Amino acid sequence: MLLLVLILLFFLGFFVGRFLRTDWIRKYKVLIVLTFLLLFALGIEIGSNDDVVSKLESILFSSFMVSTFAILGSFIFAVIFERVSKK
Amino acid sequence: MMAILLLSSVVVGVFVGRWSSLRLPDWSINVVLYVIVFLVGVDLSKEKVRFDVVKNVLLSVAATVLGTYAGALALSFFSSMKRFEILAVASGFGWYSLSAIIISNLYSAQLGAIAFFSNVMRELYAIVLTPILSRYSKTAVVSIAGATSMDTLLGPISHYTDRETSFLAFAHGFVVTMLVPILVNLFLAFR
Repeated sequence: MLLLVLILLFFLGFFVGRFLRTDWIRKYKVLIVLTFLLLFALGIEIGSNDDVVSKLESILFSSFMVSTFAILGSFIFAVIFERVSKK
Repeated sequence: MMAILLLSSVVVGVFVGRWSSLRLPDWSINVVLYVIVFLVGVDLSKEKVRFDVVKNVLLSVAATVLGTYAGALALSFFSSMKRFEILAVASGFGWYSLSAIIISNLYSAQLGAIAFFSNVMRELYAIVLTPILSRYSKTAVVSIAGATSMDTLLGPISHYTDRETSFLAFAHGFVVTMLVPILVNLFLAFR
């Protein structure tokens, strides 16, 4: 559902934007400011969930390991694929 | 510098959520997300659509999925977690809400929590690394972001790279996002 709305909004913006001025988006860094807002809201959601906070210590280490290895693998493969496809 | 500011807005949010009674309504995150995605669409509308992009999208999706599983497999050789658990958690590709919900419903609350945090961390990694790595490799920035390259990271990616990479990021995030529920279920079936 969320996915569907996001796709529709993206293409709506893509269509409507052809008839609008769009330079203000980059000029006033609108996207970065909205991302600040999004991350702040995410932080509140994490901090206000008591269940999540109480399990924090035992779970954070495993989470850290999985995300670190996932990031490393993605980075290495992306760089390799980029190099190979440019040849 | 920007990465530190972005990260600190999460941290400030956590403290506000922990030690104050300020609560944002459930729809607020989604509404901000909607506005971001809409504006990225508006911003990209001045770009000509090019169809040779399809190859790049498939290539970067392959790099993201295969790279993530290569990393998860490497970890499984010295972690106390079971191999399929690590693979299922990694299959969130940064979409913490969905992967955590699926895993805690079908498997265990603890692994669900790990899915939540590791995928939040993937997003945080991407936020921190995007400004730094965008100079080195634009596609690596997209792959690191995983599924979030179409939503949360779309703003930073389009800010730090070019319009072509923003297109790639959205299409890549779109494909990876659709893979998340399929792949999480697949690895949970291996228990």
